Amino acid sequence: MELSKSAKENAQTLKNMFGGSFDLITREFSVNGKTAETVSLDGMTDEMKITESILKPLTDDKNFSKLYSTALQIKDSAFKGTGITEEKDLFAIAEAVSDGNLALFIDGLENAFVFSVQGYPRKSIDEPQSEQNERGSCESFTDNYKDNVTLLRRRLRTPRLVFERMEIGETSRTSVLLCYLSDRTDRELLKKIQKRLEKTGIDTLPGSGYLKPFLDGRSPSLFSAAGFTERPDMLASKLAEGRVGIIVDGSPFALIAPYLFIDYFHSLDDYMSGSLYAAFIRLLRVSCFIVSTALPGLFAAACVFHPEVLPSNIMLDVAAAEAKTPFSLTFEAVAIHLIYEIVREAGLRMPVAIGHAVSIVGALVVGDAAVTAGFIAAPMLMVVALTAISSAVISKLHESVALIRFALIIIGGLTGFFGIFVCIGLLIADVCSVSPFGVPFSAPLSPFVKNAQADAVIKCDNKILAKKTQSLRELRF
Amino acid sequence: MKKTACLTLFLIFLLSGCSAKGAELSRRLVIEAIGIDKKEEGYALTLQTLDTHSAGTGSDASAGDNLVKIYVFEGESVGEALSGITEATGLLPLFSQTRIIVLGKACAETDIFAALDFFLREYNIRSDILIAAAQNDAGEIVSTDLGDSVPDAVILEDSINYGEENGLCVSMPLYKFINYALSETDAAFCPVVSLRDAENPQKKEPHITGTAFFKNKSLSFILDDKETRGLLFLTDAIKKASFTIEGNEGKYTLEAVSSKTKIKTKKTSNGFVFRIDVKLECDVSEFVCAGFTGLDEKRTKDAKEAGTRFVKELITNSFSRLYGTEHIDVCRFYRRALLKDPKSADEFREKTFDEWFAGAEIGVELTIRRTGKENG
Amino acid sequence: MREQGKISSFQFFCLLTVCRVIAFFTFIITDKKGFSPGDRAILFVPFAIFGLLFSVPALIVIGKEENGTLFDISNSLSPKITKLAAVLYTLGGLWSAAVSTARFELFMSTVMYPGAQLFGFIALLAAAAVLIAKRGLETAGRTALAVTLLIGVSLLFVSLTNIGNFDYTNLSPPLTDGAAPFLKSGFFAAARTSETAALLVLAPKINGKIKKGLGIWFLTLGVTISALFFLISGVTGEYGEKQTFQLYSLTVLSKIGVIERPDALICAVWVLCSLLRLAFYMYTCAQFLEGGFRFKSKTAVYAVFSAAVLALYAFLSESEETFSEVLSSGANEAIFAALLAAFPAAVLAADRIKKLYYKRKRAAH
Repeated sequence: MELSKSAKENAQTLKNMFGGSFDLITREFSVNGKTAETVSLDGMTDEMKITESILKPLTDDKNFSKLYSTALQIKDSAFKGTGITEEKDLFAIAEAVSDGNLALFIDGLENAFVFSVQGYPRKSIDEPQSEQNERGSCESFTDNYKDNVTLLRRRLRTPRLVFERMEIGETSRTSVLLCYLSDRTDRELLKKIQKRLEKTGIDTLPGSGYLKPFLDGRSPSLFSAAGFTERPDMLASKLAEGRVGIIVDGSPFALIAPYLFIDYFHSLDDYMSGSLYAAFIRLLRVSCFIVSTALPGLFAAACVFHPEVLPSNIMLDVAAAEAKTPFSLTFEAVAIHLIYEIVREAGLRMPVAIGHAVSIVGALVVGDAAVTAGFIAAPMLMVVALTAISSAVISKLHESVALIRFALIIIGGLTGFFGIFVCIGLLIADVCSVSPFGVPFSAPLSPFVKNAQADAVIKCDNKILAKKTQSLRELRF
Repeated sequence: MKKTACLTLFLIFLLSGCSAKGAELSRRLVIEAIGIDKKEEGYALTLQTLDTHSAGTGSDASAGDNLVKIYVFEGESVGEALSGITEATGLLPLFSQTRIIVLGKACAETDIFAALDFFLREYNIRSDILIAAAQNDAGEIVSTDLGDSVPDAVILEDSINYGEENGLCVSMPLYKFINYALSETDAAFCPVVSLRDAENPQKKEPHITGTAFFKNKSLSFILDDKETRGLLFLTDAIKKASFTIEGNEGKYTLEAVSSKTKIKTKKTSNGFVFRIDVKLECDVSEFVCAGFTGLDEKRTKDAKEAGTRFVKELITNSFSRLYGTEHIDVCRFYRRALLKDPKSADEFREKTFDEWFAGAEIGVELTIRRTGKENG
Repeated sequence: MREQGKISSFQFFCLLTVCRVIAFFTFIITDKKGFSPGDRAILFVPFAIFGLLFSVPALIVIGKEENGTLFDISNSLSPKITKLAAVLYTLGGLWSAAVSTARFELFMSTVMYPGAQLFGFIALLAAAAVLIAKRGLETAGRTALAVTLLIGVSLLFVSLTNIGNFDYTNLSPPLTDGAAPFLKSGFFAAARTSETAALLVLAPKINGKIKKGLGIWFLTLGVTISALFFLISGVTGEYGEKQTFQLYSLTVLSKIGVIERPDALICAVWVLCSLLRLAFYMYTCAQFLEGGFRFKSKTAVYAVFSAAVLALYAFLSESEETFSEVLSSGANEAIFAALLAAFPAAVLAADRIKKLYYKRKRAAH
């Protein structure tokens, strides 16, 4: 939509486009003898900047000379320290105003000026909520993508760190940044990711997690090929391996693509600790994954079909406890895990003020009263507790683990170890079948890549790792 | 397509479950010990079981008294007797926790394979379940209340295991029992169990009284405690042992810390020559003599010589009983010879037992390791 | 850089290992004559030699063109031979899959779920195998790596926990019945190794040294199985000879700490082997059909194969007697020997004759 020669008319058109929204502010004043109008959104712009850097210089006739055109003088001399562009299209100007810019219309000029004066409220840099580390940095990403860019730049001070901006969402027009190291990331990988993001066709983008299924593409797997992180240090280390980061404006969680299965068991603390301890902890995490996924199912299967596996004393205690309860062991297992999921969900959704009440209800009612009342057997509760704690160790995999766990409980209760291991076979095949962005999801374990084993399940000394360049290229097709 | 596949899989899972025949633990009868007695018209099986159902509703679930229940079933065969369990109790039998099978005297004197065949085929039974022979009735052993806080079968099993650890009796798991029973020249054997009064006059305690040998599928003879000790040396089954011996200088109590029996096989023109070498390391745990005196070099040497004589006598007596009198190849000379020279297998069948085995040499080397903290 | 759609030779041989060991795990001695326990401990020698001999025609086939297939040669002779080969190998694969499934079901119904009707379980196995086969050779290869590791750990566990029970007097001397029965046993063991026929169609999808890998595979597998037989004999002796499933009798004796019967858990790992074997056979037969009739395999092909396996297995597992008769008849070994060695050798010979004929014809002109 072309601009008219009248500043007032342009301002009115813009006002109409915003539907008379109360937060749209227009100011009329005179610039070099001509009528000028500014349009901006209250709350999205920095008022001080507007006043000091734009209005004051504009309204001061000393800044202007009759010899030169007003437009030229505005562009070249009047404003310093503020980004300024010229725009002809009213729709583009409207979008720019939505982004927190200030639009300036001057009578008689063909173009409008758009000034970058964003000043919307920003959350301060906080500690990561979901990825705690013992010895790592205490900074986490924020909702503002520009702050996130700064956090990343501070960790990778190289000109090869590139941020490519794109907009996703017809209505929301959310800024999405693809960040990568130009000398490490494969162009094909980047193109694939760009293509998948461009094809989303969504209307609004509520957060970064929304993009995960689009990045997974057509691969039908329980596990996502894109991981997420709240930590700039984590993202920086992944970028150094040749991966691509995706920062979404409005979300403190950045996505990492591709994300391999083994990455779910890694933490930055591993690199801050001794290699032996790190190796031990990684093996512990793998064990926790197995426990949280398979233990309830195996327990149900053992009790119903294969009691010989249980040590005598445990079997007797379990049998005695189960004799008291009215429900079958499989039903108990499903019920108690459902209750655990309910408590977990409640913990996430409820207001902080009533958090204590829910904890008490969860612990006392579920933990104690249910056993005393004879609804649930104590051994089953022990199994659930162990499962829950193990599940917390690999919280990133919680969604997949929860689903698999329920499936294994039902299958174990119906068919015993046979059914469980058929499912495990399918799971292993599922993990091994996916190759997101040309990298096998199960790499570097299967296919076995010798060079990458130094930092796969176990972690070698940092001195050894420093000599190796951990690169995605070794794992790619 | 994916949803259809998942649904199909899930339906198959459900259907499979219907035929899989699982059962909750509370619906199982946990059998801890089985006593088999031969009756005129078949067998009587005494089962020591753990009634988890009652324990679940009782106040103290871990008390052995509350848990143990005795059942007796009769039938023409062992399998027929056991098939009545579900009908009588409403529970499915669980054999995986069975610790011991006790063969009654009458049963042991008839065909033991007939009694044990069911347990060889039952998938749930542990292959290393203990076999024991009762001095009289197996039912009496299995049904007697032996302890307060643990199931009685555990006490029985522990007694045998403890006895084996300390060189007092043999411990015979099922698979080894069958192994020996199937051997051409060997014979199966197992400990003999009886009951005696315990400290608590209302309780009894298990007493292992020798070793029962089975030839031609039935009980043949029983070794006493001393002969059993010799047997343990011959089969290299001594881990620890304690014996009191009379030496020239006084009475010594020796604790065997380690024992190793090596059997050497040598082929000669006349046949095979076997040599049994026993190496024993002992500590002197006690020395008693007139007057309080320590162990000097002379007395240590005396202890060593007395110990060597004692052990050699034990072994020689057992060897002559087993090989000379009963013709049991307990040291497996036949198999050793077969491995040394497979062609000699046919020659074995032409010669008599005495011609092959009776003349083995026995050597004992006893070393005194420690004499205690008192300086002699 | 790896090529998509291909697997390494190590992954391929892991697949073959998984397929072969499940046959060993559920091995039933049907013909005790001339197959003494002592012979089994050194069986790896004739097994490796005969196995490699059987594989010679297949190795020549894949060596003719770089990682070529049987169809490359048969197509030059006649499309009918190609189609015949496709049908024969598919039927052979179907038979092998059904026999191993029936054997596994016999094992499960004896020791894991006695008294249960296991058709539903096997149907489940077949359905799961279809899902894996559909995802291709890469999935199967990578899964095989993980399963091989699990098998290795379980066998190591069983071996270490039973070393203390080893009694050398339980062993039997080898070659007690002479060399002929011993060689015959090795011959039959090698003839039953039907998995190597997969090389005839899958060679183009394998990276790395196939010939060297095959030699190492036969030797390693043979030594491992012989070592296990040695351990079984030494631990269980005559008692083990009476057991239907020998390795299972060893797992029953494994105990560590308070866990006295981990055999159910160990046997459950074997379920993975059975699943992968079925999936591998499904995939390979689909490849034979694709090569012979030039069409792209779809889910329907795998589903039909799985239904055929189920039908055949149902017939075989009707009774232990039927199954025993089938296994001890020697027909099994004859079929596999023909497919492994005789058919490829015949195709190679025909190709050679044809080339000689045309050479002479050109020379004559």
